[in-house]
Amino acid sequence: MALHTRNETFENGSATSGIPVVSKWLEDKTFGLGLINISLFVILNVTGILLMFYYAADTDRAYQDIKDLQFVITFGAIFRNMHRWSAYAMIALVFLHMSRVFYMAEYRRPRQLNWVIGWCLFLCTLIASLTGYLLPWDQKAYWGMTIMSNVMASAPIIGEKLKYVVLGGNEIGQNALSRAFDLHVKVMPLIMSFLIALHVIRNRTDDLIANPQLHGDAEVSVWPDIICRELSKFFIILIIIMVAAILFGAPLEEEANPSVTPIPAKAPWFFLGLQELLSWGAPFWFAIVIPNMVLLFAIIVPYIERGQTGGGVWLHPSRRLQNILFTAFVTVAIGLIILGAFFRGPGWRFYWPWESWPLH
Amino acid sequence: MSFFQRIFPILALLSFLLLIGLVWKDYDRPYLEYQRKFKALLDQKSTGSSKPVEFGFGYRQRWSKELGRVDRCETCHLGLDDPRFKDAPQPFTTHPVIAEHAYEKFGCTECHGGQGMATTVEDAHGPTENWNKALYHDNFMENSCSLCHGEYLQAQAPVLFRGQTMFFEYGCRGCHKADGKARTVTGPPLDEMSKRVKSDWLYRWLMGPKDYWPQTKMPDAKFTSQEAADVSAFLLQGPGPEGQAISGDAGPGKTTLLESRCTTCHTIEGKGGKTGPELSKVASKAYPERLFKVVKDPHALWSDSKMPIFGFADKDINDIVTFMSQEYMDLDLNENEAARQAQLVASGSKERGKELAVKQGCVGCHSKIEGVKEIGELGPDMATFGVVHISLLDFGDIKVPFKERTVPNWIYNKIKSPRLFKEGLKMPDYYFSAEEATAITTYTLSLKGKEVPASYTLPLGERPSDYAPQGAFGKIVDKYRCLVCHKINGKGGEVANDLSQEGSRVQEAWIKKFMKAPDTIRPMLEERMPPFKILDPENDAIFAYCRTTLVTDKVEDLTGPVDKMALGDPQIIRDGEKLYFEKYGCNACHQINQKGGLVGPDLTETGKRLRPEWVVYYLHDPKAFVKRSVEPVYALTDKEIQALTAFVLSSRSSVTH
Amino acid sequence: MTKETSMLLRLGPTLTLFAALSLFFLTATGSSIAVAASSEERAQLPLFEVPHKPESTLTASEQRGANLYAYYCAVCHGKNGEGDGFNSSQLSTPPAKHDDATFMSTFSDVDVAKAIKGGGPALGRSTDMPPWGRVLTDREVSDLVAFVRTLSKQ
Repeated sequence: MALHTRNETFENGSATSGIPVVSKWLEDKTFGLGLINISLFVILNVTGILLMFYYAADTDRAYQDIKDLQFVITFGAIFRNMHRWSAYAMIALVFLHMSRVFYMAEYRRPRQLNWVIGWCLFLCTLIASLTGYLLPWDQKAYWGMTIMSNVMASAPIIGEKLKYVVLGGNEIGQNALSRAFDLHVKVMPLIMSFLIALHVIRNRTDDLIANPQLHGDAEVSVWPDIICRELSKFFIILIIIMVAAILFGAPLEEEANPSVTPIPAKAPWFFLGLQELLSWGAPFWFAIVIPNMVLLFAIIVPYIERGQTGGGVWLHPSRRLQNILFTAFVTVAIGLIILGAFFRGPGWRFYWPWESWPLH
Repeated sequence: MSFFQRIFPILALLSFLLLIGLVWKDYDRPYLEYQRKFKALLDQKSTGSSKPVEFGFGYRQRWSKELGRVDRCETCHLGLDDPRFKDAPQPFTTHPVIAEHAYEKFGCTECHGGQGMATTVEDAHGPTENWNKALYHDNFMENSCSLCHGEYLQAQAPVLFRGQTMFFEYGCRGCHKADGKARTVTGPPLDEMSKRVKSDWLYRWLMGPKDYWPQTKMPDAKFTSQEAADVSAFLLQGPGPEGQAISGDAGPGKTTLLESRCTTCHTIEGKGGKTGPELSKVASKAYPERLFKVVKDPHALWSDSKMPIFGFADKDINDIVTFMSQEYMDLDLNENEAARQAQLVASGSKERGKELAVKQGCVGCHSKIEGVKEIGELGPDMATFGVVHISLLDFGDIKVPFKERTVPNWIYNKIKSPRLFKEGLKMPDYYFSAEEATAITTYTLSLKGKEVPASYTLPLGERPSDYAPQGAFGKIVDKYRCLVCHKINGKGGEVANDLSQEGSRVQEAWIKKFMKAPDTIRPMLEERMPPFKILDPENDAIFAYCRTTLVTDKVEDLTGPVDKMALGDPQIIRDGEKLYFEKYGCNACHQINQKGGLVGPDLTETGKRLRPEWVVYYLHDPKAFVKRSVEPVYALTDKEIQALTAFVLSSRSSVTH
Repeated sequence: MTKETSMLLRLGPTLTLFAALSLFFLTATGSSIAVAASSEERAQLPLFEVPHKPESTLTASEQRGANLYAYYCAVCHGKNGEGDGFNSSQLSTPPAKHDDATFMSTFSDVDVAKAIKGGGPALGRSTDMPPWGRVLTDREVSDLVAFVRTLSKQ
């Protein structure tokens, strides 16, 4: 079967001919981010299987099972590390993938729906990561979840109910753990697989619809060429994750202890930005309204964008406004996370990273 | 072919190699090295036996469902059960025998701490990032005993018990709550200090209590000079000493003082008992008027005082106080220095002194401080301090390597040097030795606020009794403070002998004579019973109580058989003499007519002192009453007992040895 | 451009990716870093002490024996087995000197245990030495024997 890959499509330069580009090097590179994300998803699922066999979502057992995985079970430590690092990497790379798509304006007709699906996938990734974060039942997990459930609770009208539904109760206990486990292991992979399939299929069909004239003579065979190329990128990711798993152990703190609050309690890093934002003002505005507005705006960008030029390449000059706005958004998002991670101490007061924190 | 297509075979190969590498790394776990070493040792020790040594490589774990622990220590500690490994190096050394603590039931970490679920050394022993409950140091090992065995482990866990006793005796409980336990009175009340002590002495005392009385339990609050002056000024508010001046004869006073055996409780120049304070400098401390009152009726001044009421006549007390005022002066004290200190105190700020007294928690040990109410506890609650979370302990600026950042180390250092971690800490310094600090740390660590399942508890040791004598006898015991030195029915001190069966033991005439003028029964002891001026009615009441209450049936039931023994028969006495000197060598430890050993009591006057029933009872089973006595146990026949009793009780005018 | 340069340029993004990933690892794990303080030397104050067991050359059994010796034996035999205990001057037969290696070598461990359990007469010696067999357990006796042996090893 012959399939057209995007690189080949543009290699002829027909899409870029006549249009000035900002960066010759960037040009139309995708860095294979979508492929990387799928690779990570595959790694997550495979390593997750082993973890799933040995993990019981019971508050009395969960932490001990993690210890068993770490010390006793064959490949337990390595798979656990791989799972954690793949998850973190996937969040970051999905974000980068989304950025890349924006900078190249690949959300335009007929790809608007794909853009929305992509954002749904990003949110799914976050939910999967959040539910997975709770499973080790250690201090980080417990208190991170406490922060997040309190953020949810600050939503107007439905906030408390939402928290109750998410936690299965008023506090984080067995119910919360069971729900997190079921979501993480059964529901999210299903939804994400479905969405990923949709995303990829749409990518192909959109490609064909958008650029009918690109179906020229260039033909590449799936096997061995395309498969080998995709697989080698997959192997690179696999190697990186395996090396990371060997070198860096996945973090684990002490067993969850509701009576000992870490000072300060911090949300998982991917929501740290939200927690940082929260500290600037009333939860209603800073945790609910602003993030949701930003989210909504990002999702409907393809539908509200007026300019239609400059697509297909990085940072086209005609898209100066969009690029600047988006770069600002990315900078703020990452900046907030860095701020919350390194510059906040007890009481959420500002501390330079090298300053020591007082104990009481 | 694109770039990625070209490198695909290399990457595939690399991934495959990495996979092999991962499999290898996962297989070759650190514990296997230990198991191989152990197998080599096992082979060595089993050379010569016909059967091949069975040894399975792999994890070993003990899972105690009730305790909720999984302990994998035996994965590396393989020689625990095998006595052949007594001298093997760790981790293979045999576990010391500690009675019935089977691994299946108890695991390891319940007593030792550490992370049982781990299979690498650093993670198992701790502390690591996610497991702060590190293995307990050997010194503090006994702290886990009280979890199952209760609080009275004097014999089985001496370090723990010592720490427990010290916690209460040294007034820790005055500032730190510990699980509903009552506060014991540690220090005297501080009312009317201006009538009692001289201002320069109080200043010196506050600057350093151990300079005046090295065995004091009062800690050093490390006051600055001004602070000590201020607190002194605060405490010394009020009029000076009142009452007529003391004038008496120092000569008779000295005689009376020596005869009264004050050094049984007090030290004079460091020599004496541990119950009362040092007396050799007391004239520099207290006003004679006060000394008079103390000797006359110490209980009126301090209801919990351990000092008995001697019943001296006023003239005698005058003599004693005069002698003390002349002789028991602080000879090293410079008069100018004393005057300067008095001046400092006189110009001290009372308000600041009161603030300091409140801040330092004097009221934790001392009552009746003017204007300072009971303010409850000042330091953190100790009830669960043994399992406090390490993040709550402030090491201050001290660079402590991560491995040493454990709860026991913090507690140990805090007790040893209370103000080590930061400036401005309040806890005073007791100058504990390493052993004392270890004992108290062990006790603190045992306060876990945790309970073990009922099937694990096994209380050991003797509970302290709540015996409290009533009626006339009770008043006498209270007046003469008998229970400070003696034990009756499990309550009291251990300075002197246990009186619980005294009624069965002694003869009436002797005990009444003894109470009026105690003499030496045991030559080896340094402490002696002081002579109280016991009144005749009191003496009668004491004896009546002894004969009615402090008796045991085991002895009383022997009255019949003893009557039938012909204890006056000269032949039997001669037989007893032979047994005493030749067969059993009793004279190695006991004296008769100043000849013999000094270990046990003098047996010269036994005929007048002990009741024959008691001697028979005792010879039958010396350990029945005092289990830890130094008396050996002979398997005496009844005839031998009869003969020995007869000899010991006889007047021995015919003793030939 | 040359093949090498183009390869390099293609590897560039991968390396950048790796660097970015490292940063993410840092952020993820570093979100609760508590930075250790810089310390000032406080030379006047006592230093932080790590508790250590006092140096003892005795094994556990010997240590138990030492405690028993101090309680039951030292009053005659002396603290260090020199036969100069408090009671020794009162005895017609001087107590055995446990620190005398030549003397002690004439007795086997069995002999010493016999003496402890049965007293002097068990070895045909003075009745001044009492029998402790009914006071001490077998284990205590063997602990004592072990300790007595150390006294002659100086």
